[in-house]
Amino acid sequence: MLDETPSTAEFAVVVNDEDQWSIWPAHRTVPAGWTAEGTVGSRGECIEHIDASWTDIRSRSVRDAGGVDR
Amino acid sequence: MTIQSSATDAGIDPAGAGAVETLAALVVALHRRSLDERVVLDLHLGDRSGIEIVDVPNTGTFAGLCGRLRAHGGDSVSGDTPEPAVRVVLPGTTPAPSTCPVAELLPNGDGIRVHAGDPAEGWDAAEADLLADLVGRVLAAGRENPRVPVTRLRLTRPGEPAFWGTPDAPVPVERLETLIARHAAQRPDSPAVSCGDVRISYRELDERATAGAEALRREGVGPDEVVGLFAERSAERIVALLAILKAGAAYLALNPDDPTSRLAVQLRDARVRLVAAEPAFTDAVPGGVATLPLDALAPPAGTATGSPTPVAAGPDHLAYVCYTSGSTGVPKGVGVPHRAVARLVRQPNWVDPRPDDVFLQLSPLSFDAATVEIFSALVNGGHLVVLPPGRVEPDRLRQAVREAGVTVLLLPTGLLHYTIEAKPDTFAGVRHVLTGGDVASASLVRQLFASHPGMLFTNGYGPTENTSYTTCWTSDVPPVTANVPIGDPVSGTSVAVLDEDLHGVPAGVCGQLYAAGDGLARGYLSSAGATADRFMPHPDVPGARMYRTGDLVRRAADGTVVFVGRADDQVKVNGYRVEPGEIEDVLLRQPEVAQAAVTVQRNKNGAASLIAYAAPASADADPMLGARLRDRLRAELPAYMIPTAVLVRPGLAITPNGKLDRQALPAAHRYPRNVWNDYVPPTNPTEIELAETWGALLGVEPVGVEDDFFELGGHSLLAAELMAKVSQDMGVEVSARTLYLQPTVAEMAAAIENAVSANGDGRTEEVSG
Repeated sequence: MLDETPSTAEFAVVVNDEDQWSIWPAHRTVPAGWTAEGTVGSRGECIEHIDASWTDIRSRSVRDAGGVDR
Repeated sequence: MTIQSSATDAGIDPAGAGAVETLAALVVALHRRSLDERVVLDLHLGDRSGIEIVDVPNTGTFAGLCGRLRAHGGDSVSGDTPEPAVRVVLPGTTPAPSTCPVAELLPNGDGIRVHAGDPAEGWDAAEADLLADLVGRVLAAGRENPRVPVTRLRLTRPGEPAFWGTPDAPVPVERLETLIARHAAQRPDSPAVSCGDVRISYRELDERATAGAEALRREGVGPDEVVGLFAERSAERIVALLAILKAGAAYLALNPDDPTSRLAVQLRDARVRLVAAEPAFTDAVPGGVATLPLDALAPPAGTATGSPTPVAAGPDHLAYVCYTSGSTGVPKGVGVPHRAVARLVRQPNWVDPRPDDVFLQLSPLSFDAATVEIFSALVNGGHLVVLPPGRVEPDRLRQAVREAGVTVLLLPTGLLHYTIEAKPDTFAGVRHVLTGGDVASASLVRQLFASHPGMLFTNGYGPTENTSYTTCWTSDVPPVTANVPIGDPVSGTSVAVLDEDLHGVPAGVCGQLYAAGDGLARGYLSSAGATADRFMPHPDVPGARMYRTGDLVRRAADGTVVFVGRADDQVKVNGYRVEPGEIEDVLLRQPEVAQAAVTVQRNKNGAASLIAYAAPASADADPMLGARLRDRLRAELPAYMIPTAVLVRPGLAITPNGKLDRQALPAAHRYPRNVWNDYVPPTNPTEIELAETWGALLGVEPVGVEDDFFELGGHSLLAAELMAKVSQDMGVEVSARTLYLQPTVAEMAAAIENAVSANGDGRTEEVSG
């Protein structure tokens, strides 16, 4: 599912205040403005979890401004 | 090249204590600069002289490398001698002239002094100093962390910022239609969009687009909805595009050349329910999607009723969606907000668009080069001249540029190269030439400057995910370097080179390029996972994101960004970004294919072509399997992703860890023809000569007289090359039109012979279809 050689490195799933999801190396401190969501695993496991959990890639402020769900 | 290396039995201890550490640091610095896993040294250390290779494994530590060098040095080489990365000399040695830099070990392990090599190879004094600085950093980091893999050593000093550039747009961002409407108020009668005989003023553009937006609203279209736009180049298409923005929606341009299945995938992925189509394309709109005539979005002037209804949409709603090749077999829809485009074209640092400028629109709307053309013009009150539909040929281009008085011209790199070589007077009235998409030739750009002094030139780089351009090199003087630089971040963008742990690396060290700021796309429309994977937390700006480009780069001593390679398999073919995995996926879905691989091959001019390899599932494969697979690909993929050839091989090599061994794929200089018609050999001398010319140009053999130039893998740039070659070798000028109308060897040979006999001696006779 990834476009580069899968790494054995561990990642953590993180979320920011705009409800945008991403991943971050598990051994590093999560950057300011982001919160660890709890999931830790390989890059692929984290991405799979995000695919299942993050249903609307719009930022919170765009979502609040209205429009169709996408 | 065959290189045989064998371990030397003696260690290196060239200049007393500490020198081995310095040498190890030099090896690590060169590895981190290039990512080469074998560093080639040209040792001039008294008894220890000659070419030696030092392997730098991913897991190797500084202590390990020092120990290895001390015990037995590098591996000596016999056979072909590889190019050394650096020459190493003893303290106090006056270095002889060298292409590569010369590293002089300083006494007592005090580090290294680096003397410049050949500036044309990028080794000027500043770059040599940078290498010396890097060796110092590696030495310090390696001594502090001797057991950390050298690929992970942190080489930045505290306080050195990773990002550079200005992440915020130069002026507060607004929606694009708002910016364009301002010109309708300020300069209503100025030309906004033209195409052929059609000329639309800013007032008319605004009124017609407003009426078109009302039509969309009646269909219930609102903010962030994606509306399909299915039309060839025209002025009306630009009006319709603006109507979609005015309705608060985003456009998805459908490419008329794409197969229907591809269009259907995009429409489904972007959840499009309405497509504005010109009449010729209405029937090609996949089922289940409503259509609206293009004219409904660009109604005639004077049909607008009242003032536009305000839309509840802001600069972070989407302006358009562009599909890019996806490695998993599914194209990815990049959603780009107004903010990102506004940051690109308002008071930018890479171009100075003026109301009296004339821009040409020739790029396909489904690629974001069109973003640069359309919005640089309209947001700044300029005149957008649309090249009428049809092939973009050098002669048409020249005529259009000169007739319309184009002043700012964006050409894809391949077309730019050809135009500089063959039609340099195209640029006569142009004040600013821009290019992007592929590696620009420095010698051709120098040629452009020589024939048009005083011109501005921009080389733009950037993925769609950071909206058209991420960095640009804009200059009024020719490049002095071997490659045209990609320059500095555009205004509204900052960039960083980060290592695998997402720490910054100093100049001279290779890492992945990341982009941040107002140019970022929202993400991939229906792929949250891919979005999260590529749009990552910004390490320095709270809550912000950065985009991982996949491009491996390093920062040069002069601050510009230098390409090293890709972190994945993505390739660029004629400026198009292609994921080989997407093509392989189509091949692997065919039951008769067991294994598939797609690679890119470059000819001697650097032009890239895609080659597919397929291993059949059964031993008694149909001899036409290659041609059949190529047809299958054509039914699913856009033209730029169709391989030049599908080579059927009994089995493809596998690496020890079970992956396809791309390195082991046979390099073919000529490919068997993948066409359906039977091979008919050439008979007369003209046909024989032409067949040979085509074969050499297209890399195909054998070429039959009934083979179609475009079926064999030819395209418009190769057609232009063919004309030049025929003119040079056979003394006959053949027009491009002849080839398009009569695309076989037999037809072209007949046209040439007619011309020769009509003209007696056959010199410079024009053949036209």
